[in-house]
Amino acid sequence: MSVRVLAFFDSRYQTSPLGTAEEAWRPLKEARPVSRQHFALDAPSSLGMYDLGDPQAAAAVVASAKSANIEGFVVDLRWTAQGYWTGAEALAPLTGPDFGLAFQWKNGDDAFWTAEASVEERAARAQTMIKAISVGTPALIGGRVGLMVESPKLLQGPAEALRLLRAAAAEAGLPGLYLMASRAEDAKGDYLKVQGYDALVDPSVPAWPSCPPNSEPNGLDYLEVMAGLKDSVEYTDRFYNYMLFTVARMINRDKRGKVLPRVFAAYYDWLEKPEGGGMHLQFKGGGRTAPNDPHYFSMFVENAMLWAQGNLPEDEQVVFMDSWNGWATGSQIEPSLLDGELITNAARNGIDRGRFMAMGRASMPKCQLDADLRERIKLLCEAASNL
Amino acid sequence: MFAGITFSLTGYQQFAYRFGQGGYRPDEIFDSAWSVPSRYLLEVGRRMLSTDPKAELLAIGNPLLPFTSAQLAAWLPDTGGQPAIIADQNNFPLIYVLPKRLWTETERFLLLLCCSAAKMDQALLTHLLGGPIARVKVNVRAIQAYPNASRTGWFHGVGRQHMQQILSKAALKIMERRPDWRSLPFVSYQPYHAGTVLFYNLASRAMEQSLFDKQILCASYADIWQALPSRQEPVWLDMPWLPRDGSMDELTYLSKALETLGPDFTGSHFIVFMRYSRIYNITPFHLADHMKFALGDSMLSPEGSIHARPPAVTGRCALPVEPLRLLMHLTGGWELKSYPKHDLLPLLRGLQALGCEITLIDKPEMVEHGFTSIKAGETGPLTEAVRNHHIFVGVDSFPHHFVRHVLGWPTIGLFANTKPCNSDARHAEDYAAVDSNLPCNPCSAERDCPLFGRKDCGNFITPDLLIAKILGMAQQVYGASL
Repeated sequence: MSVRVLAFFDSRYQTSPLGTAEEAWRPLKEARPVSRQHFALDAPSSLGMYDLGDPQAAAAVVASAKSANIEGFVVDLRWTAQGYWTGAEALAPLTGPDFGLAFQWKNGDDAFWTAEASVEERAARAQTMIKAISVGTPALIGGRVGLMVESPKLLQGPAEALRLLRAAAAEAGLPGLYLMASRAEDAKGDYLKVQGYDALVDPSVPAWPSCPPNSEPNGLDYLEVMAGLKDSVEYTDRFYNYMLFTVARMINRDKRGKVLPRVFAAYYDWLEKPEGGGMHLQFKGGGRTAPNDPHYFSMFVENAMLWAQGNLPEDEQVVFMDSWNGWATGSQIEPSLLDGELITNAARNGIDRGRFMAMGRASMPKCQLDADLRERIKLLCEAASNL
Repeated sequence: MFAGITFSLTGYQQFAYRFGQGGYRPDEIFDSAWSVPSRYLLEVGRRMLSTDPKAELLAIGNPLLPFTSAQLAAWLPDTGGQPAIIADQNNFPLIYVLPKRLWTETERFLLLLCCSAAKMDQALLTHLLGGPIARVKVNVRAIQAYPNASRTGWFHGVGRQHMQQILSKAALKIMERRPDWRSLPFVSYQPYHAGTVLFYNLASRAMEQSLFDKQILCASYADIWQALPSRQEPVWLDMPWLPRDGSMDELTYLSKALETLGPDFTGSHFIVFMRYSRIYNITPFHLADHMKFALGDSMLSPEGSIHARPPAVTGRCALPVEPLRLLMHLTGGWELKSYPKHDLLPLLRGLQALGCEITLIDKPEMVEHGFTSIKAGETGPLTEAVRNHHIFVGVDSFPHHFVRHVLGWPTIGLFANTKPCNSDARHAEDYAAVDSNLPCNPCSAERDCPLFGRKDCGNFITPDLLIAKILGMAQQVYGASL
């Protein structure tokens, strides 16, 4: 099995407890930048502003993702007024051995799990959650159904919660749960050893600014903004160099523990921050500033795949692409009006290259040095560097 | 992007291909940095004929240009079913309309087309076809100055095209002067550098048939050729290899090389350019495989690649495994390829503390720290040194490639700002290419890091991880217990 790439997928583009497809697309249609430093939001081209409730539209989306070498979607699991909802039913008929589903639990919006509750109540709630993700063919990670916890810090009694979820999954006949916490590192082993997660996943772009922003406004900036002499976003928003940001995410990665990589082509969330405080990745090169660079993005993808291959157990080698259709943050891989298929092709090419390179490394056995020796080596090098 | 149309008695078929990235799909063609545009013209024709073997006439967009099928059809005038070169108003060739027999009878002569001067190619094709071929100018926006690097990966722009034109002109002269030109040998022009010569010969040895009979290479690489001869007869060029300091450009070098080879040679051999025409590090392919394609292999599946084949040779050190003896080459052809200075002593002292014996190649400045430094510029001394060590650890440079591919020795390749897959080997218990997988790899910079401005590259793996790799390999290959 080669390294797999799963893409985050926003399934709200259909009639759901959250609204209609039309309502889900409307913010994108109506969005207007409030600063010249805000990159324009893009819009779908060949796939259109689809309604996933239309089986043909859903099939076209999945076919497009497959042609970009994506092997599955990560669909959000949300608590709504009508219970847990994923929207994955629209995708389920399109899943199979070559395209599966994993889930991201938006637990920050699920108040039940942030408060105290009896074990019985929690077990019952866990059962309804497992029922919601028992849909379609799963993209198995470590032979189990992948479930990512978006805000692990908010989970009340995390070890018990994870245990109850696993028990509910077993009861429902699932092959088990592969539980991932959205965290950059686990230096003390709190998440894997104590709470019982199987792995971590790099947090989303806004949840983990991996390097300092380019913009560090001071008091003078504030006064200039207030006097109308400067664009207010220079004070309120944070701008990051895309290359530094991505390099910082990969640097010393081996030392962060078992953290599955998350890659992204672009990110700017001014639409979600109408009062300011947005986060913007900027690609600077060739005398231009742009939201993305297809070639560099594809290098990010292939290197993340190689890292996963070299550092993760064979059936847990997954890279998460953020995202397939995150139009509101400019992170979409889908074909678009402004980029055409540049980003989609960059994703496909990066994955093609990553897979091919992984093939040449497949026969390499993993290093089996014992932990004591590895620790001794580390200490020796530290001592030698201080000489 | 390539496009073509085949014409047969029953109709026509349209084709579109793109440069492959490792997917090996039917609409992808291997991306080879050493291949000239005409090699792609040849390949597109091969692929079209394999799908439409009854075709009699093939229209193929100039591989230097990103044609879509629709655009090709839009610009293709009616040639009355006759061969022709379609050109813009400045005589830049746009579309070649050629008969099938050029592929079935004289395929390799297509390599002589320069693909950048329609008049020149018209003259060559007139000889090849045994009769005049039309050159049709179409009234489209002229191509004009070709960029230094195109969006499809063509490299060095007009400069490279000029060099190919020189060799096309030389071929034309031969055809004009020698009635026996069809029987003359084809020779590749790939005289330098050491690693390239090695990859050429590796590629050649992996092929039963090639488009070439001989290879031109610098006489100073005789030891490499002897250690790993190719299937092509060597033509020794009595010139030093091109210096890397930019003091001589490649065009001047080519002119001097042709002068050095002499009129007898250049008048009796078809020389085909085989230095870089394309950007190599945007591909996942090994440079030896780039060479295989340039030499004529279509590279239709990954099975034929160097990453899919076990090494031809396996070598092991006969000395007792304790102490573990390491030969290390940590200085690359340029600064960013060299292992960082600040990590060097922690690495060496760490290994020393674990009981390893270390010999360094070309690191005299480390002698004062108690390490041994040797010179191993030629393959002979290098081979001798390798045999006295259990594991070779080397940066992306000739010694690393030679030790792994020719001697088959347990090797750890250290990569930083170059892309490992372009010059590593198939990974195995006795071979690993290591880096930190930073997304800025490969940056292609030589002196300074484009991101941080430093003189060293942050993509090398750290000393502790490298030591763990070395000891892990020692354990697996030699059963060393440390």
